Amino acid sequence: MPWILAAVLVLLGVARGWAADPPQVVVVLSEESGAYSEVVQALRGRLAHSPAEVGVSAVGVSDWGRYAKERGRPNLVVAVGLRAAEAVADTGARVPVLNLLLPRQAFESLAEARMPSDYRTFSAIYLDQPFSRQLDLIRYALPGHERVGVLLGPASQGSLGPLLDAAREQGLQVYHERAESVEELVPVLRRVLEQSDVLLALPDPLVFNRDTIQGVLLTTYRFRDPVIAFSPAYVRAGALAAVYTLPDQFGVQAAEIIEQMAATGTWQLPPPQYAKYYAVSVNRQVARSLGLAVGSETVLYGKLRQAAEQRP
Amino acid sequence: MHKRGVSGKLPNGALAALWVPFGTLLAFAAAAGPLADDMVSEQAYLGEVPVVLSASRMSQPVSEVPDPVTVIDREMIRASGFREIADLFRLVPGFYVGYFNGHDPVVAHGPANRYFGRVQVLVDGRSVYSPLWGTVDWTGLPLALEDIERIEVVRGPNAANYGANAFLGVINIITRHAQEDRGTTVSAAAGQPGMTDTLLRHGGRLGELSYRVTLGTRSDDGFDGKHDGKRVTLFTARGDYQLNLTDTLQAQVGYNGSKRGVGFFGDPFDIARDENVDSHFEQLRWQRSLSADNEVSLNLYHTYHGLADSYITLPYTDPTGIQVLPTPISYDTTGERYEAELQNNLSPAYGLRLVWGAATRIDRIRAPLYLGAPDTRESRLQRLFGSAEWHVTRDWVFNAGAMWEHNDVTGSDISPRAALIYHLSPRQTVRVGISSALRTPTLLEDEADFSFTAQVRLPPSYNTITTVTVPRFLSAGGLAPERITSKEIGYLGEFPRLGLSLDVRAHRDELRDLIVPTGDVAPYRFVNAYSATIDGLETQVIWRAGSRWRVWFSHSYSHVASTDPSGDLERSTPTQIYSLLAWHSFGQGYEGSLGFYGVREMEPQGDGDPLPAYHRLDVRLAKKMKWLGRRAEVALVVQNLLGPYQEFRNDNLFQRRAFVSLNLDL
Repeated sequence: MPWILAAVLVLLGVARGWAADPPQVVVVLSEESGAYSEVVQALRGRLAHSPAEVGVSAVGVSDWGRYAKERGRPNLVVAVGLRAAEAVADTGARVPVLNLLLPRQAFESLAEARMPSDYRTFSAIYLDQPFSRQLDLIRYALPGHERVGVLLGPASQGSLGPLLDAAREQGLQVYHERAESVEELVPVLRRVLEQSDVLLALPDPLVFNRDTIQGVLLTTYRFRDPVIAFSPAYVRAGALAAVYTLPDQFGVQAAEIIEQMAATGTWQLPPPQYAKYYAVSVNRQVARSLGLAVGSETVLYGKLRQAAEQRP
Repeated sequence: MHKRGVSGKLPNGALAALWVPFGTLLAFAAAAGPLADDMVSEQAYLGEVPVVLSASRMSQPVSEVPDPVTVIDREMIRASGFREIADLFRLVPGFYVGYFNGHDPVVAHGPANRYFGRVQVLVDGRSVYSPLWGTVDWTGLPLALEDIERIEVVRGPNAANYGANAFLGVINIITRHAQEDRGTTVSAAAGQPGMTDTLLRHGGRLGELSYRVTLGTRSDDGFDGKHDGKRVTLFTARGDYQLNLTDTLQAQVGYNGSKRGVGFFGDPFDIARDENVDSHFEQLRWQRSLSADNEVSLNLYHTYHGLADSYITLPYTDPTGIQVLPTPISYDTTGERYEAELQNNLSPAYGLRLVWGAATRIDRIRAPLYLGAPDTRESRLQRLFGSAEWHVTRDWVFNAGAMWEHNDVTGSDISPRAALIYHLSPRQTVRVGISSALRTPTLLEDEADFSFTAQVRLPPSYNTITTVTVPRFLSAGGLAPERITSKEIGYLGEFPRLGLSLDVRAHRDELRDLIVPTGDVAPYRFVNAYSATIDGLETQVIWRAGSRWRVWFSHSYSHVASTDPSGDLERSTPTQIYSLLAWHSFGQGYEGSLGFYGVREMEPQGDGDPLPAYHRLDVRLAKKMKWLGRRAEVALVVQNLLGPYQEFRNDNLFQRRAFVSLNLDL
């Protein structure tokens, strides 16, 4: 049976190859700078101190196609950002893909386009925070502010259902309205603010961007309604507080997932999940000006952790 | 652009694009456009946005302000039904508002004086205080009520921040950011006496520039039986330009042109006539906001105020038989101001906040009749200021500051201030403060050479014409500034469960070197004489019950004791002033408000008369609705439902007035 021998030899060869070459992870970056590079650095840093031996290479989105052709299949692709996610999904690579810096909605759209959709080969750590966490922040930073206003746009309206569910669980009321154009943004916002004690900002290109942020924040300020935002930049701009995950925190969590996979050797991804690590920012001057006694960032963070642990 | 469905799923085209086989990046790029646009990408979370709420845009919480402050917001402005900016100060504890005539309001804290004001007024950091008179031409301000975002009134001296003449108070008017007004609004109002107001406002955006334009007219006939109506036309424009993430440039211009009735029927000298007033300003402000507590700004502005009032007196024969021939008189004045101010806010350590800055100002005044010379007087002012706020512990805040000023008239001076704030609880605060300030003599007080020259024929022959000069005021110069030291203790309490906030303040103001006219007959001279002590108790209560009720209440009690035997200061300070403004929303767009205002008997200085105590009740009813798909509001305002009362003078009888206004968003 020479073919059996041959097969055994090939298998041995493969096995030897596996043993000799550590598993390979390719990180595909939407941009080779800023937050994207921070993710890779943190990921590499964490893996460097790990018992798992994993080779990590990083490529830009434009080099990914060539890389996929020339270097063969890695064990895992980590796509950082929407452009990378789309490029990787586009190649149809039959390699597990872990998506980072991707909002839940964007990930779900991509996952749906992928047939068959199986988290074990296509998963993510969501960029956005779970609503329960954001509402926890409202409850702990602003006790008594029970009427939560939300200004929706075309891109954020899909979030309403999950938000209402989370609010119901926490005993908060949500007042929401939708703006269809930039012109009606401030009038619609005014109606929302008249009914609410705090504005929860949901990312939407129509509602929150560099051009609209002045009108939005000045209006909320006039109503003396604090804003709970989704990024530290908005806290600097004048929102009261935000809970968010830093790029390096995503890198660390991704590295932990890789470690786990490398240890079992199965390279099956865990289900898509929210970030495990996060931070809280508070704009002290805004709190002060609105006459709000908001706890320190450390205290609020501790309370959020505690609340999360108590949740089933 | 592609609209996305309710489910948040990808459009079909994009779905198909995602199925394109490996390598066809071109097809991917074509599909990525609509996909990325409607989908929130990570840029929303990672991108930078400019600092919007910087130190200068935010108000300090009242509980941490080292001064007694009243904030008048848009809600109060609307509820009050007032159409004149000056009237709003009736809502501020201790502030007296009276009208010398239909268009010449006098706003005072402490002794009321038409000519020599002791309250500084700033609009977006521009001082609109006239160096000639020390007063503000409220009617001539290039400013529409609708453009005001809020007014912060400091009810005491604050020269450490605002410089000289922030003596018995500071009125700080802040206009709306251009970004806050989008679209077009028209409004019109009509009522008694002869009142018609129109307004057109438009706001929009061109790239990174937000702009707003306001055009308006305001006219009325003033008091009954007097020639004191006004016709005002005003125009203001503001642009806010975001240069980059940290820098903004703000440009403003404004114009106010008015024709106003002055003089008195039957008075041959001060004949009933019209004066024309033109004022305008140009302002440029650059601001770099690195964070909420780190900001640099440069403020440059120019203001102009010109009054044209020339006429010929009527022939007159006095009781002794002297015939005064018609004589030309010109009250023309022009005033111009240039100022540059640089300011830096920073927080070098946790719990420590600093503000410091420098300013230079030039005033050019031409007032031939008052100053006895046709040339333009120029005076310069330099300033250096700084203040610090230190949160010593969580409960104790210490605040101190000072301003150094040098002007051409009285030289250099330093005005310091200090306050200690103690939070009894997060919602209850006690404040103890001491502040000193000065009021530089106005040009008129220091340099008046004011006389009337007329030609007369003397009895019995009436053959010869003689020129007679009747002196009015003559100043020798060399006046020292008036000085004040104010000590206060204040309590601020917030009771959120009751919806109440309470502000009570007791103060003692010691004034010295007060400038007063002397002499029993003209020419009067101005001298530094007398001192006075004003003891006062001011109360302000705000009650908010849900979103349907708002009640503002203010009360002040003042007692003046001066060394001036004439008793002018005592009489010109009402012992009590109070106001109550209650607003209620009835639902379905209906709202109503009641304003009740009262002043005890007094005699304002500067051509005022002894006035009995008065009460005034104003009512406003409004209905918001949709009209042809547009938002509209109709309102009825009735001022002074009670019997007529006198404003400032006996001949200013304030009758019941009513007007209707319509506001429409186009």
